Amino acid sequence: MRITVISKATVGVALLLSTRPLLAQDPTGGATPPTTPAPEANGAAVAPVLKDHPDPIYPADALRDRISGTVGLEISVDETGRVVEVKVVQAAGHGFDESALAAVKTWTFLPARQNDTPIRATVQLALPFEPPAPPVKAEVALPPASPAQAPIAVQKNVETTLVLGRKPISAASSSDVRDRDFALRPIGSVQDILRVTPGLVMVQHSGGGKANQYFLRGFDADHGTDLALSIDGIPINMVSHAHGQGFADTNFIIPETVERVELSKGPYFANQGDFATAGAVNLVTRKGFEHSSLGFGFGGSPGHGSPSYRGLLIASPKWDKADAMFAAEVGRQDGPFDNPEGWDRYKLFNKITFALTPTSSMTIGESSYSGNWHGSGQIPARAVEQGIISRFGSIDPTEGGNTARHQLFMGYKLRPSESSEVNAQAYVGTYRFNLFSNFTLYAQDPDAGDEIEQLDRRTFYGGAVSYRVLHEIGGVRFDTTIGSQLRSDDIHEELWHAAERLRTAQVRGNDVHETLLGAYLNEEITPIPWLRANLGGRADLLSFAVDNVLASNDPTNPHSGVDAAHQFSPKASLAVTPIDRKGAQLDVYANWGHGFHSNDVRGVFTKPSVTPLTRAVGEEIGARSRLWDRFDFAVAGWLLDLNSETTWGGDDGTTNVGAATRRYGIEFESRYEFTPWLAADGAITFTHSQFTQDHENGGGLALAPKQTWTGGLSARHELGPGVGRAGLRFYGIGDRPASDDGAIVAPGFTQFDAHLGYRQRWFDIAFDVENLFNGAYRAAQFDTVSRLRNEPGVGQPGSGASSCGSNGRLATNPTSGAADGRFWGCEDVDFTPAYPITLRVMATLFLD
Amino acid sequence: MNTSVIVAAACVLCWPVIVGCNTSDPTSAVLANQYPPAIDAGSADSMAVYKGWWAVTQFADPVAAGQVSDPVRVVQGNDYGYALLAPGWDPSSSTLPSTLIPLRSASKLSVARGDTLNFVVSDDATVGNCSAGKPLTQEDADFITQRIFPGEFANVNYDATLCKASPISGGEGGSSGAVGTEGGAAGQAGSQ
Repeated sequence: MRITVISKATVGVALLLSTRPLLAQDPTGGATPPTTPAPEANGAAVAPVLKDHPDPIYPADALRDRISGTVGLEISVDETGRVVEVKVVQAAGHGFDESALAAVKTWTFLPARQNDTPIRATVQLALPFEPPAPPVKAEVALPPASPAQAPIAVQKNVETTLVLGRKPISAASSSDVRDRDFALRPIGSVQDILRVTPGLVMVQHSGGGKANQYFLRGFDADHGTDLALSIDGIPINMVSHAHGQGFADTNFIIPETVERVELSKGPYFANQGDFATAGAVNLVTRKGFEHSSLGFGFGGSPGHGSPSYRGLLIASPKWDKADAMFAAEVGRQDGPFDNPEGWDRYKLFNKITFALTPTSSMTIGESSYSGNWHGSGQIPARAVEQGIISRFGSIDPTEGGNTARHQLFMGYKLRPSESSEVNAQAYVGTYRFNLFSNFTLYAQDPDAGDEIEQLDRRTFYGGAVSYRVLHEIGGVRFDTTIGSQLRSDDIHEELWHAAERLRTAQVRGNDVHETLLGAYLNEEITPIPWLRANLGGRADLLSFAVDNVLASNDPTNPHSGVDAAHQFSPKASLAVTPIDRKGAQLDVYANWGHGFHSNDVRGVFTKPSVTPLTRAVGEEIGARSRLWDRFDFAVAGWLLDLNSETTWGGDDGTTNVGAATRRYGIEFESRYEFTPWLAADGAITFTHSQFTQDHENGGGLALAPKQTWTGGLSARHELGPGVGRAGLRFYGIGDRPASDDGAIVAPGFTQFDAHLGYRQRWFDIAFDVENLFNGAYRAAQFDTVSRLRNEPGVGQPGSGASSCGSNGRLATNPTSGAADGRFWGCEDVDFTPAYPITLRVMATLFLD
Repeated sequence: MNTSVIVAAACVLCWPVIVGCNTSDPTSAVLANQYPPAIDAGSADSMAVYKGWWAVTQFADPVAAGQVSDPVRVVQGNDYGYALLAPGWDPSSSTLPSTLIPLRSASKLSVARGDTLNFVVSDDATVGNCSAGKPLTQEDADFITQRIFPGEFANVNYDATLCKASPISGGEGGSSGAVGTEGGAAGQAGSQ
């Protein structure tokens, strides 16, 4: 067995600066610390002398990219020689600061003395990180447990990394984006962070308080149905949600607490279960911050509405055997809408990680969020064309809602040996959601309108445990991971007709309990340095009970019942590294796997019914290369079959039948570092989506994205006493079919954003411009049949005189499917407008 | 106690202060019934407004003569206001009005963001009341009765020049609509 220790990289210690009388002149003697104190003279203070100094752990990403840096530290040493406080006075980024802090906390000194009496003292050090010389021959690092996983995170204090050396670049379908990358972009919300992941595009929908629309690999994953989102492994998606299956509202997350984003595409990863069909995103939060801080931001769209503000308070106490973080955010936002959003919210995120023993740690934490808002809904394009409302207007100004999410979580990590680790996690939370929407406007009720209220109350709880071990047999390396995940939801949900937020009639009422239990095994085999195979699989069992609290008029369709479903999902991948030398690396890989998304189990007991689990089968080949140590390029061709597009329609409480589908496409990603401080990156995807049994269905699947693109320029450079940063970003989506026949089109867009920032020891200031060129385009879009108040009554004669706008058409008789001269509503693109040019300033003051 | 601990305590304690934040002022609208109040709400000269509509919002609650509705949330716009006048009807009664006269504001009404639109209903500010000599065109009347308030005029024809509804031939004589057909709408309106 071979475990490479990352601290073999050169990490020296050098004097940076002395500012206080008691400061050491050179406590270490450079890279080789002295072992005897300097002679004392005339009662002058003698500086502390470094005694035990375990090397910092070289950040894995920085090592992979061969990045060097120097961290300036201020260390307080008490009378016993113990380090009682460490501050970063000159940040190096790239994870160096955190690594340096973790290491220095374990150092011990011979205490400073005055007149032979030990005294407290402060020293300032420069801690340089230099990568080791490149290996003469390819050194194969032990790979992660699955293609999606990043190397195991560096543990605090005495814990060391399990996987070291160059990170395999074998999966273009997975990527890891760290905070240093999204710090170069406008970040006002977690959605902005998610946008940094290549190939993932998202847009806001009906105001800030509602979950976004996610676009990935040919899916318009409406609020998250085919995209698994989690934070520190805790699921964000809500099963059997009142509004939509997999509803993934990330608004409860404080963006500054996110350290890195793990993205994987496709169903190829054994540790990922429900909703991970198009892909999965896991947000990893920090253990702590270098400084406590107080931030205040404000912004707005000139000429549209009133300014928004955001306050942020972060405390990160420094304790001997614990990392802690306490964060609170408050905010108010009206947006550019004619109907002010009034999105008031607060968020809390508190987390403490204890080092229980040298080989184990425990994390406990909580997060809390509450918000309420007014929505402007998705407005018909024809209403804007006809001048009834502006593009920031609203047809039903009483839309909106309120939501809250509170959760407690606990994690435990254990390293039984140098080659194994155990991870365990548990969580429990409560969730509240009330949403007032009006999609069809005045089609069903020409007088009071078609507003609905969706209500969701739930308690969710669950956990996960995994064991990973590395071993070697006959020169073949094995990396084995076995794990299990459990999640239960106790849900009460209702669907009401409403008028101006007053309930008029109840449509659905259900008590739902569902539990998903999954177990997985992943075996990664490296028989020779340039070949790696991955075999795995998972088994999932979904059990559920639905109780219809309303009387059913149809005894054959009671809308209640108890049932269960299961699925086994095999996975396999193969990675070959034909080129691995300095200045040129190439990995070629192939992935295959099954996955699934669960459906709203209310639909299981309705006619027509939905299947509890929908299977997805994916295949992928690709390559990822790195040239000249500065140019990364990846390409992947993929295919994904989904057994059914049938879903439960939370908006009307019925089943939306859809046949099996196939999506396939090709993706390109690249990044080029012009200089150590300037880089460019870009990603573009092309996708075709269609029903499996009708390849000639015109424009393809409704709302399935055909092309997406993201990219930009990023710069970071020392500027005076601090570091300046800048970013120019773009993202977009091409025209796509709004209806299955492609006759109605959802126009695409490209948005440009800019970011400028400056960070100094005591402050940080960031200036963002979103939608730099003030493009007037549509964000979320839907093909919807609706009726405006000034249009003929549904079923009335007079369709010939009605206009449904430049991109709409008259709806046909819903019973016969024919155009019969009567008005059955207009089928048109309903949309939420993108924000116009929006300026935002965020100033942060570091408190310690 | 160091700064971090103080800030941490503040983080934990600050949320109760934040809860209950109010939203900023939205744009709103009120309907002002400026017909003179009647001594007896149910008398023939009382002129209640049964319903109103402007741009994107309905005034669903009746407004007695001389009264102003509660504000409703709207967005800025420029459109006519529409109302149904219910002569001789007592808004506090449990019965539906027997006669409804559709009205339209004399001109389009506008409101800026954050302001309150005042939709005045009176013989001066609206057209449609035949007794005031301001009948609607039949096209406007059809628009109001068939599009804006179709529920109140189901199965009836409304004659804009007479301010009178009559059953559609072969129809059910307004049985499903709120407005009756037997009343002399013009006569009632003229009684004020």
